[in-house]
Amino acid sequence: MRTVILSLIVLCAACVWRTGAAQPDDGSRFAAVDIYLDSAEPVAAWQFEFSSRNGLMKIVGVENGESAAFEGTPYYDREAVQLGTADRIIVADFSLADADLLPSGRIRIATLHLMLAGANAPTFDLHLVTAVTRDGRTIDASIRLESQIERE
Amino acid sequence: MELEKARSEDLPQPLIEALKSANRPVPMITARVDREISEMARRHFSVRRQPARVPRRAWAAMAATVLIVVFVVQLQSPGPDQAVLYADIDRSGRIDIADVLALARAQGPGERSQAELDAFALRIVSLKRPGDSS
Repeated sequence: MRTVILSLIVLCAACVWRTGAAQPDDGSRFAAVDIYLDSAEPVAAWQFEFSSRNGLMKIVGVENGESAAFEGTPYYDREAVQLGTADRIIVADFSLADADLLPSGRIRIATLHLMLAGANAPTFDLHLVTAVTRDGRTIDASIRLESQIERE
Repeated sequence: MELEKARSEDLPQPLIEALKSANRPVPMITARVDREISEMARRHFSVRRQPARVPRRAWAAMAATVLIVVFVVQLQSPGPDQAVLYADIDRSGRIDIADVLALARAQGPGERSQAELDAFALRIVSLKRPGDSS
């Protein structure tokens, strides 16, 4: 019985490893895009929308940023990302941390992992929906992205 | 007695004859006939299907299944509080993450659980349009 259970565990591990190691063979490539928020005031909540202008992109993962006040994974449509149907995404997060722990200045708030199709250079649209202080006041902040191509 | 006899004599003759013929002695049912009738009855009722009897365990299993289904449906359907959670809390004119922050910072009766705040935030970032069932 132990042998059977051990074999099943090994089989499952192999399947998971094979799935994780699978790479698309259709010329797709991956890119990571860092999203930065510039704010003169401490930020307690932010929300942005990201999409591709030429539609040759799917978002395949979302990673949290560098601030300890926003330590968890931000909110986004996980179902769409997991299904591989997200050609745009809305990402948001809020923090109830004390004002002195909230980040300000140039903050990396998220990193998006993309799968790009075709050889053309992707063009993105990034829109800051809102950024507010702890008491809910809107901040005059700006948002920008930096991309890194992971694999050709 | 005389009067009764006189009344019976008033009956029409065909009726009197019919009544006399009906008043014959009952034919004797022998033991053999009785056995044959019993055998026929036994054969007749033996081919009738017995009504299906559901064991008590099956009833219990069905009841448990119904209870589980009801429980799961209750869990998945939003409660009355969750139905009104998607709202412009800070009255900014739109619903965004700032509303979740305002709700999270509310104290007292308006205070919400983390699960409710998560549900609100996830609805804000959802890519599904209202009324989109896919």
